[in-house]
Amino acid sequence: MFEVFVDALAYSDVLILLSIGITLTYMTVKVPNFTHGDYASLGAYIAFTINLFYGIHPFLSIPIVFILAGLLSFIFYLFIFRPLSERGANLVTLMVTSIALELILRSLINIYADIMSLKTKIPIFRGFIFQDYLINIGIFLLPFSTIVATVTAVLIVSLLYLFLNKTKFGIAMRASIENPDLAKVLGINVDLVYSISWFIAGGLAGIVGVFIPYRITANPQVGWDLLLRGFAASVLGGLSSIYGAIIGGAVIGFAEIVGIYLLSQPPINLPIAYRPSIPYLTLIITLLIIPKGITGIDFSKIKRKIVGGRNGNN
Amino acid sequence: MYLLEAKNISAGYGKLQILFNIDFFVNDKELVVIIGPNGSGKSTFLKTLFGLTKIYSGNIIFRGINITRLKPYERARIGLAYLPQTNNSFENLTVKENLLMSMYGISEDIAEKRLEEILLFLPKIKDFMNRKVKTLSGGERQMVAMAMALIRQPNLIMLDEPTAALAPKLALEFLNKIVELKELYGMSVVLVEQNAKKALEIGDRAYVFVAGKSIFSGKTEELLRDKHLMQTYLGLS
Repeated sequence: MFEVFVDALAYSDVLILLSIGITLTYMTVKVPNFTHGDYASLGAYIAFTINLFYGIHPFLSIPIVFILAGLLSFIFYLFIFRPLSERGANLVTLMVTSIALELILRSLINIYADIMSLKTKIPIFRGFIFQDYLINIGIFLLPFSTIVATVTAVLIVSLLYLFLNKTKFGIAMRASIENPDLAKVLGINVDLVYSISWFIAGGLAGIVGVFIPYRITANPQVGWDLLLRGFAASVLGGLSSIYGAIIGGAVIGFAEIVGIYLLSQPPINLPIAYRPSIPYLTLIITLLIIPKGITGIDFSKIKRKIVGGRNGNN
Repeated sequence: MYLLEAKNISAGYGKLQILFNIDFFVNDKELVVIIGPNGSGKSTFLKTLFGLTKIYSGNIIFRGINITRLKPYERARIGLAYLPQTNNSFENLTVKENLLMSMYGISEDIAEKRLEEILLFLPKIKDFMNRKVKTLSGGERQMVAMAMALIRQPNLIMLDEPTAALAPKLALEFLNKIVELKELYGMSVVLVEQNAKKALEIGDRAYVFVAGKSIFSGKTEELLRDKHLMQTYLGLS
């Protein structure tokens, strides 16, 4: 069971980083951005290419992956999503645009993989993994990638918290997301704030790409496969809160890994082909109970009820 | 030279034109009142002055500079302030964070000084500085919003029905504060107000908007004397 927990932790780390980005882009331009998964694919290919040609460990390429994937997301915002949004494009238009961009981006990554396979005569460009190893921590043997993924996720979430709550620009980001018109009249450059949001969102998805080949075989489609789980995590979190996205990522990640483990055990013995359905079932069941997602829960009301109940009992 | 002048402004939202050929000006240290029936374009006009609508024709000049094409945040940084009627503070931010956002782009030391000054002008705010706006009452929220608009110490502040959600006593207090702005701090004010009679009593000049057009401009006393206009469009006798 310990291995299952570790596996779920590593998987949740990836989904948390992905869903934070999806939520950030949704909160700014109100678009479910389908290109988000491809930033992860891009991240995987950048890390792989740097590793192959320069021998640099994939984890050391995280900063450059963050910048390049962030830049791509920023460019898409600046030249495509912002002009469309300013011209009054509705949700469907924005979403279809993002699907079109996703297809283009995925095709480009496919082309890159093919060209590199032909050029280098290394066929693994269309499917590669990164070698992991186990580290002994006390009585536990943990995969190195899980430790790095967890430390990275904790570090990023902490930095994001400090950034959003303790820096002027971070507070401006929260303000601009909540009420862009008011932010504008108070002198905040909302365009700049949104641009940075998209840069961060893309960068985080890029980082996800560095961790993917430690778990599964990475190919040009790998980001797309993860995207829907990222959406599930984001929606579960309420789509309007970064903290909700973090919880959503953890819930979906653990539900999928722990769920498939439990369901594949006797007496149920379900084949693991059912695995992809678990996150979405979790999403649907949660939304049926809490329609606005996790952040829709009025915790202060619950607290008042508990305190009131206790007082009543006394 | 006027502090602000709008020449022949036609504006609206997308293809929906709301304002038609409006001429408007504000002098230094002047309180200008805009009144008119619901849907006459008063709020849209303020939004237009702040760059939040689409301008089809005309120009807006502020302190001699043509600001027609400036972005709203650029207008805020050159001495214009606008207090919207609703959604005029960030609900999920604390009062302190709201005030901090209102001084975005101002250096730390000046911001600190401005904060002290606004707390002298609206001292009640000190009591709820660290609370989130969504936990405040309507009157407290409006006070925060007013502080947010004033903290930059603008040359011209535009207030869109600032007393709409307030109890009568609080509304009166609020209007007195607006007069203070002009008399003590030398600020110019453009006031869109539901309580037309009270607004005309405190204002220097007035405009009457009907169906997106300005049908009167002049001294407030003149308007108060114009029984026909007061009865027909404002329901006042």
